[in-house]
This record gives sequence, C-alpha cells and structure tokens, in this order.
Amino acid sequence: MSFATEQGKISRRKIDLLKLKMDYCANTYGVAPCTASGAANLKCFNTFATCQDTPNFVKTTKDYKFINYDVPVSILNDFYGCYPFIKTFNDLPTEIKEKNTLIKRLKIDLYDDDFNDVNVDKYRSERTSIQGSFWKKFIARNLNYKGRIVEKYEGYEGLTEADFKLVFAGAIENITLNNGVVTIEAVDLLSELGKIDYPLKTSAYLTADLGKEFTANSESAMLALDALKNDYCVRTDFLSITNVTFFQPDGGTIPDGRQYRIAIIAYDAEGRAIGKNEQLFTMVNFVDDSKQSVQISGDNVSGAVNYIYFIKDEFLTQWYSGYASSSMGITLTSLSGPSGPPPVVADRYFKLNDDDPTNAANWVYSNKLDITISDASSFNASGYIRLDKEIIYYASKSGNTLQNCTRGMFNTDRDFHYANTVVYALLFEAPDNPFTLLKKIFGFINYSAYLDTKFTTYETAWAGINFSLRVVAKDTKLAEIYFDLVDILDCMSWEGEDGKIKILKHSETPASVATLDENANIIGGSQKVDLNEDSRKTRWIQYWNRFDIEKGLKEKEAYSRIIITVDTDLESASNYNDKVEDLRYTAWLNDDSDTEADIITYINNLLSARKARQKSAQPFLECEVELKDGGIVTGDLVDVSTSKLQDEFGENYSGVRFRVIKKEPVDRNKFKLKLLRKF
Amino acid sequence: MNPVILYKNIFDDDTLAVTSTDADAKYDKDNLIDFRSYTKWKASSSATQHISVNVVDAGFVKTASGGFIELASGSLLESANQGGMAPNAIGILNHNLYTIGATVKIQHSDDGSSWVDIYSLQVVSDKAILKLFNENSVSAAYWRIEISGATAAPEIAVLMMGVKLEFPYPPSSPVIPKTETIKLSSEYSEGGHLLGSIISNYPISINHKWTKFLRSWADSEFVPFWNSHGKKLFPFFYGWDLNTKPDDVFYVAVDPGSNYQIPLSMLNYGDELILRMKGVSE
Repeated sequence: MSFATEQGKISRRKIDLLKLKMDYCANTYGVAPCTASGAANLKCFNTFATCQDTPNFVKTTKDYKFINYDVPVSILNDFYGCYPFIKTFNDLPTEIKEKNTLIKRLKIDLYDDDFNDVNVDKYRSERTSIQGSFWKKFIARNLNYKGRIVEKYEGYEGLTEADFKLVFAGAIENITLNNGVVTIEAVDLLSELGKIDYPLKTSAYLTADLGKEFTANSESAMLALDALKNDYCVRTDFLSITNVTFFQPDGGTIPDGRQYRIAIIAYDAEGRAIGKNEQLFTMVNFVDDSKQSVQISGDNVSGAVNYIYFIKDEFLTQWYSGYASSSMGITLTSLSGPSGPPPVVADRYFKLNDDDPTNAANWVYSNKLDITISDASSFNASGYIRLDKEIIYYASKSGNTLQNCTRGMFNTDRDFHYANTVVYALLFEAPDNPFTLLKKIFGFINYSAYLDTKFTTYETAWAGINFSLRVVAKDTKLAEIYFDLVDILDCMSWEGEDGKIKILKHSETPASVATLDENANIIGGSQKVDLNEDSRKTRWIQYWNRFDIEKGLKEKEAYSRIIITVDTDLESASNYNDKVEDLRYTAWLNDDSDTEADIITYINNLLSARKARQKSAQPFLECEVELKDGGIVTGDLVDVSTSKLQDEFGENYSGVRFRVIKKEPVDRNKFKLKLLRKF
Repeated sequence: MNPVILYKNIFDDDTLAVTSTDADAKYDKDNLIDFRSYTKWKASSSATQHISVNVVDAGFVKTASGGFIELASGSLLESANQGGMAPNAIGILNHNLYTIGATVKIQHSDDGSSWVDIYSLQVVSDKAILKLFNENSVSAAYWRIEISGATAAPEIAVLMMGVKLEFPYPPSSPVIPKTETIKLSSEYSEGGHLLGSIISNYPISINHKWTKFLRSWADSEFVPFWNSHGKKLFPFFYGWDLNTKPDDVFYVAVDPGSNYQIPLSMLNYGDELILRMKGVSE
C-alpha cells in the first residue's frame, strides 16, 4: 500500500497527525550532572520552565503527537500514543506572487481533556497527586513554546506513520485557550526570514570600551586632537626614508636613457605603510647594451620590517612592482609586475595611553586594531560588523577576537563605543554562485535542513554570472534581502506542502504535467475566473549597482545603474494606450559582481523573460479538486480544460497551461486551487 | 434478558496492581481505569498476568456462617459490616485477548494469597465485552483478573468490574438496538461523476425507553447512576439483551442533548424514562 494508491481510492479514511517538537531535558532529576534536589513530589517536569538546575539543562526534543478526535479505536491502536485531540485545521496557505510570496499559516483547534501525565512526567509515580488538563499543564510546563516546530502529516488508514506525508512544517506563534478548545497558530519557516532584523542583531557584545578614532596628517595635528585616553589616531604622514642613493651597476634589463620614478615604501610587521621615499631618477648610458640595474641604498626606518619598491618610467603609465626586501639596500635588475601604484598615505596607528593628548610620549605606536567580543563563534572568518552606527571591517578572527579591524567603513563615524554594545553582523558577499549565496542566508537561521534539494541542483548547474552583495547598513528584514536575490534570478520561493523551502525558475518546465478537466477532476460549481488585469505590464525596469549603503533596498537613489525595456507596441494608442511599469531593484548585481558586459546581457535577458510573461494579463482560475488529486502541489504546472474560459473562436480552453500558485485544503476531502495562466 | 449498564468499577482504587507493564512509557495500569478507549495497559510479556485490587481496609472478617461470629461463650456476634464487594459484571474494551488466544478468569480471595475461580470468560473477539457473573453475590476483599495462555502480551484500554445496573424489563417496543450512521464527505465533478469519499467513522446512537417502572427502582438504581455518571458524560458499558444478543455490547456515554425527566402520575410508578446514548462503532 502506498500513499498515492490510498489517496487515489474512491473511498478511504483520511488521518491527520500533528507533532509538536518541544524542548525536553535529557537528564534525570538529581542524577549527575543534574544537581537539583528537592522533595520527590516537587521534582521538575524536564522542561526549562520547571527546571531547578538550569545551567545543567541538556536540551533534547520530545515529540507530542496528536490525531483526529473522531477516528475509530482500530486506528487509535495503530497510532497508539497519539492523543485524539485534533478538532479542525484552518490552513491559510502560501501564495506565490510575481514579486515575493505570501507566508503560510496554520491554525489547529484541539480539544483539551483531563490528563494523568502518563508518558509525559518521568516522576509521575512519585507525585502525591496528579490532576489538571493536558493543555493547561502543557502550557505551564512549556512557557517557551513560541518558535518550536510544528509538523502536520497526512495519511490514510492502512498506512504506517512512515508512509505519511509531511504537509506543513512551521514554528508556533501563539496558543490560545477557549472553553476547552486550544488553538495553536503556526507560521511557515520562510516567515522566520521576515522576522529577522537586518543588520543581524547577534547575542555578542563588546567586552571593553572602544575608543574613538581620529585621523591626522602630522604629529602636530595629532597632538592637537580633542582625544581621550584609549582613543586612537591614524597618522597619514609617512616617516621619511633618508639618505637614499642610487647607483647603476651593469647586468640588468632596465632600459637606460630614461627618467624613472622610484617609490620605496617601508612596511611595519603588520603590513602597514609607515615610511616612504619617492623621487625621480635618470638612468644614463654607461655601457652599450642600453640596459642596466639600479642599486638603491638608504637609512632603515624605525619599526619597518619590509620594503617594497615601485618603479615607473616616463613612457609608461603602469607601475611595476619592485622587490620585497627586509632591508633598505636592494638592486633592481628588471621591471617585473605590473602592480598598482604605491600608497599615497601612511597607515600609522597610535593609541593614547594617558589623559594628555598634547604630549607626544602618550601616543604609543600600536598594533592593528583587534576588537574582542563576547562570542564570535557565529561570525564569518572575515567580514563587517556594526557597532552603534559605525561599520567596521575585520580581516580575520581568532577565538572571540576580530582581528585587523578597519574602522569607519563606508564613511561611517569612528565613534566611541561602550563595553556591552551589541554587535550587529552585516552581510557582505563576494562574487559567487547565486544559489550558494541563497543557501548561505538560510544558514543564518539554522534552517538549512529544510531546504529543498533543488537549491543544490541549481547551484551545481549554474554556469552564469556571479552575484555579490555590498554592505547594507539600513535596517531592513532578512526576507527582503532573500527575495531580492530570488527575484533577480527569475525564480519563485515558497514553503511547499512537504514542509521544504522551495526554489523554482519561472522558465522551468517539468517532464510531465498533470491535467485537470471538468469530468474527472474539477468539482462541480467550484470554478471562478479573475482576468487579473493588474498583472499586465508594458515596460520593465531594473535598477542595479547599489552604491549608497545607508539607503533602503527599494530606494532608487541608492542605485547608479538602470536598464529599461519598453514594448512600444503595447503602449501604442491602438493597443492598450497606457504605460504600466514593472519596477524592480536588486542589491545583488553590482559592478564588482562580474564583467559589466555580462551583467548587462543577463539583465536584458531577464527583462525579456519578464516581458514574455507579463505583456498579457495572466488570468486566475480558481477551482476545487477532490483529495485524489492531492498530488498536485503549489508550484506545479497543470494543463486545464475548462468551459469557463474560451479563446477568440469560442472554443473552450483545452489543455491550457496554468501554474498552481495556491493550494488551500477545504474540509478534509478537497482542495481549492488558485491557478495562474502561464504564457 | 433485561438491559444492563456497567458503570461502577472496583478497579478504580489505589490498590490496583498488575503483574507487569510494558517498558514503553505510553502504557500504564492507570490507563485501565481512565475511561479512555485510546490509552492502554500492556503487559511486558505473554506470561500469566494478574490485574488485582483490594477493596476493603484491614480488619475485614469473613464470617463462617454468613453474618455472625460465634464467640467462645456461645453467643453470636453479628458482624456489623461484612465488608468486601460482590461485583457481578465485567466490561473490557479495546483489547487483544482473542487474537492472542488468552484464557481469562475472574478470581476472588479473602487474604490476597489463596484465590478462588469464580468465572471463566469466553473471549470470542477483540470487540467490547460485557459479561455477568457471581449470581450468588459472593463477597470478597480481593478480586483479580487472570490472563493466561496468551501467545503475546495482552493489552486492554478499559477494564471495568462492578455491580451492574439492571433495568426492570426490556425497552419499550419497537426496540431499535442501535442506529448507525456514516460520517463522511463526498465530492462530484462538474460532469456529475463521483470523485471520492472520505469516511471518518460510524457513529452509533441508542434511544431506549422504559415505561411504568417502580419509582423505588428508579430512586435506588437509576438516579445514582445518572447523578454520579450519566449526566457527567462518563462512558459506560451497555448491553440491551446479553442473553440473545451477547455481542451487542456498546461503550457509550449519555447523549449531551438528552433531557433527563421521569414523569410521575401513577402511585409507585414512574411513567417514562428515556435514555439516549451515543458512541462509535468498533
């Protein structure tokens, strides 16, 4: 017997199972590591709310299972241990929309009953009395029920629990009690993205005050700062490399007879530029081969451990890399490179160790800034954080220390921050496979286990351009960032009936498509048509390349690039005679994501696909189908034959393709489908 | 035979004991007496099992001649209260006793050690059982069920043993033993074809009426049942004719829509009593 076989029978007995996955301590009261001690009658109930030794609470999960209240005893025996409390379900299903998706909600009404705590209370036999109802005790013992997982399964008499299908997985949002009936409200897992504030507030905080940071271009400027003890100053003036001399020995390949600009940069142990000498040098002919070397010598700079030499001749605009050396003396025998230009400002880092900033002795040369927070375990190996309004980049981390920090990123103020300031994590994603990036977002909320396998299928198959995300500093919700990427990939995302978070390309066509017709599938009197005029568009606009991190994701002023596709035929006076925009923004395509030409090609193709879909209105068809067609799920394509829609020749729709954008259970034996015409 | 209700339960006592219980925490002896058809006791093995109870406090005296103690002086001291109980009906619901081939006996004892068989239960199916025994009203301090010869661990959802409530005569004619309906949902296509049906269960309802019964019977038998059990919607066993229809045993509760009334117009008699019950077909 299989689920599909039973579902397809003309008469069968349907069973609903509900599982609540609640926290439960693995310990036994008073047995190590549990240190609780008390009268036997007053022992805990292995829940956190009743725990008497919370530091040793060991969290596991206990499943509470429920079944329909009206199933016969024979079925109760088959599912022994399930409480027959389920009265009704009220599904508010997901609905796939062109932009964004409606989250799914489930309300379950359950009966309450006196309960003897069998299989719930480990210490039941030690209590002096047992009283109370199931749900009132459940709530009192599980005060932290919010956010715990609810799973709904459907099956049929004759099937085992393993054959049942998961049709909803979500998080408890609220429980209400009303005259012996308990109502549990749950929302789907995708909704959790909508609750997560972005930037991501973490549980980490600063463990010590972080002083303000200034910039000064000279010592006198630094001494004039209005700085307090433990503040910092970045000096942009270089130490001078003195007594530099040049000599031209034979044997190199550097062309002579030219003038060169040579820059020697001294770096400290942490790779910061602290010293510089840059000057012109004219190479003269000494030998006939017109190629020579340059020997450079000079005084070492205090604190320097490395010297890099940059060289450029008068005919070239490109700098060439010199040789990294641990000492000032070097002989350049060739131009190797190319490289970027030498730094124009120094990066000398000082910390004020005393109250008097006017005393140079109080400014101590300091290592690169490390910031220690209470818990860095959930932070990336490198990335951005936000303290109050300042954005800080860290290049690495070790334990709870964020290392090599650069403050004041994106022109934010490098202000003082008190100890215990909450640390916000900022997403910043280097160019990468977009489906890898999508999966990463779910890693933030630990829901990776609920992702459909299609995420990985698409990830593996992806051969297109890279996507990237610049820092978003303005408060928003993680869901907005997620659906931005889904949208720019021309995909849809929703929580499926199997409890998995789905991803599907608009363009994907499966190998086989179900059919619906009025004889074999559509319930009599259940059809309704909405021509959905609002879905028609005449021009398609895409903003991209977000440069202003302070603005919201849907503020056009945050973007510097735009691509527009207009269908002038649609807008003509002979046709619709209107302009209807499909306006979208994306923070995931920027000029550093991939090559500009490839990005533009991608967006143009995307707009063409949207145009093909939206240039005509996409009518909705609502209809009900019996349980036997329950295998049709949200996101499926179906070929529909119906008399409720006809073509221009007056012929009924026959095998016309629609997509299921909503599937709503009605009673226990049918579904209402909302179908969207697919062009 | 006259209709019988079993609602009293001597096993509903702190001294309820079982030989063994399955290690799965879902099973417990207390499930035998919680009235719920979906919670069970299950033994840990197929070995002989006893479910026992001690129905009197210490100090019970069983008299030799049935009611009097002969003192050494020759005087007779009437025992004020013989104590003990004399159950005469047993009900078992949602069990596997037939499937596992169990032999079931009812036994009693005065001391909890020496047991006397009083009734051997003939189990012919796993459906609800309601049997009468102990016609001689033997009273004892200890009572137990013995389950032996099983091929697998026995399990029982509801176990009741107590003094029956017997109606004075059969229900008024015509007697409809039960009415069974079908709770289902069916859908038909636009083209008129049956697409499918979902069956939930088969509710049963029983509406039996008695007329011209002794008021004394109603006061001493029915009213206590109604007050302690019926109107509180506690389930009970009902057999309308256990002689000719021994399989017509129903585990039901009073229909919440019932009106309880006993019109009285004739001396010593109640005019009419209607008992509406509802349950689910097994």
